[in-house]
Parts: sequence; C-alpha cells; structure tokens
Amino acid sequence: MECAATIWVDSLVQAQHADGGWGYGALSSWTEPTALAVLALGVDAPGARRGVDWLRCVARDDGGCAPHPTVTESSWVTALALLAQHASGNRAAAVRARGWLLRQAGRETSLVERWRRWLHGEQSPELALEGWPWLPSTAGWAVPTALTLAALRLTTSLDDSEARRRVRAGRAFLLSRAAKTGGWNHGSIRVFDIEGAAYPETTGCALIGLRGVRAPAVGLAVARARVWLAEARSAESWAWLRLGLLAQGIDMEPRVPPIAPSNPAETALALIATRAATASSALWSNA
Amino acid sequence: MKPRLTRRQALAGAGAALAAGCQRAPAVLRAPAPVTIVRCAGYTASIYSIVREMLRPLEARVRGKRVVLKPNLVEYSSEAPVNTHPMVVHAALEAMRAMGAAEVRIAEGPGHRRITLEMAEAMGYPATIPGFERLFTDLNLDDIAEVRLRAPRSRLTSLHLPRTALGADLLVSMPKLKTHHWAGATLAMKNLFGTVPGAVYGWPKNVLHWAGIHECVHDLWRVYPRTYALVDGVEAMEGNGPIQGRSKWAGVLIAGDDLASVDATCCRVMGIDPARVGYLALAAETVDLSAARIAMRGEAWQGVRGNFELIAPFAGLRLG
Repeated sequence: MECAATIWVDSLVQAQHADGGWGYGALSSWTEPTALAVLALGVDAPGARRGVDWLRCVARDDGGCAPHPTVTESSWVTALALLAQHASGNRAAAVRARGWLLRQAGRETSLVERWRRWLHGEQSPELALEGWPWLPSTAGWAVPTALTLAALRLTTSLDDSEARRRVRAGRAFLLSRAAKTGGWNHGSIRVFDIEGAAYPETTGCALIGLRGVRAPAVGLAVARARVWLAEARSAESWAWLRLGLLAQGIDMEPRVPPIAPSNPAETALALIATRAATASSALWSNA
Repeated sequence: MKPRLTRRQALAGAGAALAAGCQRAPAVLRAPAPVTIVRCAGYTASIYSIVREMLRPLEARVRGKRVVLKPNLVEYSSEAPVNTHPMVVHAALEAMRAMGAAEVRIAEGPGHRRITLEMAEAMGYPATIPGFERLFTDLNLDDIAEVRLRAPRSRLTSLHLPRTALGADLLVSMPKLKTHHWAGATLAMKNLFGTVPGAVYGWPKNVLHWAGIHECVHDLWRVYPRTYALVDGVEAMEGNGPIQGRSKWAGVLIAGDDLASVDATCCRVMGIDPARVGYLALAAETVDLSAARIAMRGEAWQGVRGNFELIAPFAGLRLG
C-alpha cells in the first residue's frame, strides 16, 4: 500500500501544471483536482503551497470558487476548496468560502418554487429540505450536499447555530433521497413512480456526508457499499466507497484500488482514501 | 371604448412586438436534409457493411478531417437498451477510418454518473472497440471554451463546452432511439446534452432543466455547425425512457446530415408527431420538418413505423 502511495505522490507532483494547479488531463488546471491534490499531498508537501495559491485565483468576490478559471460563477467545488484552504490554515479564504456555501440551497426550496408547487397542488415534503446544488439557482443533489456537509463539519464551530441548522437539514436531505434498497444515485430516487438504481461513487460520498448519523438508510447503504467495494472496477469508485465506509467506522479490504488511477483527480482521491483512517482523514476529524 | 395607452405602455408594447417579431418572424424555412433509413436485423457482423454503406456519402467531408463520434451513454443496465450499442459505434469508427479520416475519436459526457470509463466497460465498449480507452475523451472532464449562444431560446446566454466537440470537423451524434419522460423523445439533438461538461455543470446537468429542456436542446443544436446523425434504432426503448423504459425492437438505423430532419423522421418511426415535441417545434421555425419535404432514402418511415408505448403525460404526442 505504501509503495502504491509513493508512486501516486510522484505522479501527482509530476502532473502539477506550471501555474500551480492540477487538471483532469494534461491541459488546463481545474479547481476540483487542485483541491484534491492539495488535500492528498498535505499542505507541507512540495508544490502544495502553489496549489493553494492557485485556488486563490479561482476564488470569487462572492466568497465561492469557480470550477475553472474561465468560468465566472461559483459552484459546488467551493466545498473542496474550503477543505483545502482550511487544511492550509488560510482562515480568511475558508471563512469566505464557508459563508458562500451557507448562502446556497437547492432552488426547489426557494419561496417562489414552494409557492409554485402549492399553486399546482404538488405535495412533496422532501422538496422542502435544504441540500446543496452543483450551481446556484439549480436543485439540490447528493454529491454537492455530501461534500458541503463534510466541509462544514470540519470547519464549523459548535456555536454557529445557522451552520448547525444547515448541517441537520443537509443530512435530512440525503436521508430523504436514499434508495429503498440502499445507497444513493445522483439524488433523484424516483422518476414517474419507478425507483432508480443507486451508484457506488455517490453512495460512498453520501456516507462521508452522513458521518456520525445513525439511521436505517445509513445501515442499508453501508451494507451495499461493503459489497460494492469488493467489486469496484475503478480507482474512483473504490476511493469513494473506502472513504464512505471509513467515515462510518469500517476499515475493510481491499485497501488498494483494483486498477491504477487514470487522471490526477483520481490519483489524489485514491491517495486520500489510502491515507484515511476511521478517526481522521483529509475530509473528517474526530478532534 | 378603446382603452387609452400611455406613452410608456405604447413604447413597451412596441418593444415587445419588435422583440417577438425578431425572435419568431417566419423567415424563409431552410429545406430539410435527406434522411436514410436502413433495416438492420441485429447487432451482428452485417452491421459493419450496413453502416459503411450508409456513411459513404460523407467520404469527401471526412477525408483528412477530425471526426468525433458521440454515442449516448447514460447508465448501465443489463436489462434495458439504454445506451448506443458499441457495435454501431465501432462500425462508424471503422467506416470513418476507411474513408480516410485523419483522426476519429469517441467522446461522451454522461449526465448521471461521473465514472464514464467504468460505465463504458460494463456496456462492452472496450471489449468491442480495440484501443477504446486511447480513443475515448470524457467530455465531462475535457478542456473547455465559452460559447455565446446565438439567439438563444433558453434562459442561457452562453455555455462552457468541451474543446474536443467544438474542434471537430464533423461531430456525429449517435443516440439510441428512445422515448423520454420529460422531452417526449431523446434523439440526435437531445444527445448533445452529453457535450455539456459535468465538471462545470454537475451530474445531472440540472442547469439545462431549469433553463428549459426543449429550449436548451434547440440552442445546443445551433452551437455545432458541422454535425451528422446516426441513430441506433435496432433495439430501441419505449415507455418510461430514457432509462427505465422497455425494449422495443425497431430493427433500423437512421442517418442524415441535419439532426432536426433525422429526429423528426425518428419520431415518425416511433409513431410520435414531431410537431408536438417541443424542441422539434422550435427547430421547425428554421427548417421545414414536414414529412412531405424530407426526402427519404432507403426505407420509407411509414414502412418501419411501430407505435412506441408513450407514458400518460405524452399520450397526446401520438402521430395521427
């Protein structure tokens, strides 16, 4: 396992772009792989500081982060940037990012949307639960909600009542969108009264967001994740499943992915999963 | 008694009329492109020669050019024909190479799941297409450029789109012939949703839903100037598509230069009136999609029509 980790560290260092960021491929830098690489390498590693500096370039005046330097809108990647800024001790950037996240909620919970549904006689209690969207002014979904919950848990003090309220609501949002057979898909379980299938990667991610939560849906998801981990066919699904299970206190084989990671974002995620423990990781801490 | 208008009301009314006129004035309709329908008995070796023959008219357009094949990969299902069959994609790849294309890539950005290669493997793409991983570009994670939308009908003014799709000399939309629980039908135009990158817009690409599904399909269709459509209608899907519908054996491949003309014909093959499908109604403002104007090559659509099952909200789409 350590051998693989050493190879991945070298691979990440090699893949860093001249501007200090990381990309999905060999071309431009993106926020998601850069934040993951900083978290995977640790802020004191060579190159990580330049990665943190690159993240400042995609920070926007509203406090959020854009997914790519050419995009002029803050998005879901703010949660990952917050985790990286928090790890690097950049308190001011972390506070701004956290503030932006707390101002976001799925559009379905807005006053206008609730009023529109009331006019149409649509009663759907789970649509009143505040999750987080991929982009502002769109609906809440499983992955951005789970990542934001992880970021808020790690960066929120106990006396912040609004953050604690949003964490509770976000957890309720995830639980309301769990598949009856266990796990999560992208966050829309039923379409025209037919249940959709859950996915390994979103299930792992949701289990991170639900760390510390005891609920039947979590138990069912853990059972599915255990099976999926043994059958994982990519480094990414293995990493999310391993992280999800570790977040729920379960450390099980396999501890290495079935195949090598295929891009820097996957490499960073695999490294984070390899170095994670039930008590702490780049995405959670018992401290 | 006529109500009196204030100057402000009159100006506002004139402005609205002008805006409506600019958007909806019936310009001279563009003639539709011919559409080819060929019967295909199944996913067997004969599909290679069928596709080669269907694509032969493209030879001058692809020689020395960069071609991108864009199949429709949504979710893996062992029970339902959700995705473009890999053999159809491989047949198109071989045909493009045989016609002298300088480069042929396969590219897709699925809307629900982000581990595209894992899905492609489950669907049999690497097993069917030698060197698939080398040929494949994940459009969800590709490098991007911002594109201003021309006279958009959706609420969007621009989109960040993958350079692999934008830079193609020919972008071949290769959807599965399917009904769709929100759009009525999902075909070559709707398949372009897969070029909207998840790394920017998420999984699913929910911004397109809020901005208007039909309008976004129309706007994306107008973004890509050099396109072709090859529809996998051998084993199709009816009912609650695009994922949870049922298999429907249609036994056809449908192709043509103009995505809207192909989609209108596909709708007729499915027993759907294209004029009642929102995005085709929008497309029909610029291209004549009437059945009489679309020249058919190979089979006539009437000869291969099979009324696909429609979910209740779309019962009104049935072609008379």
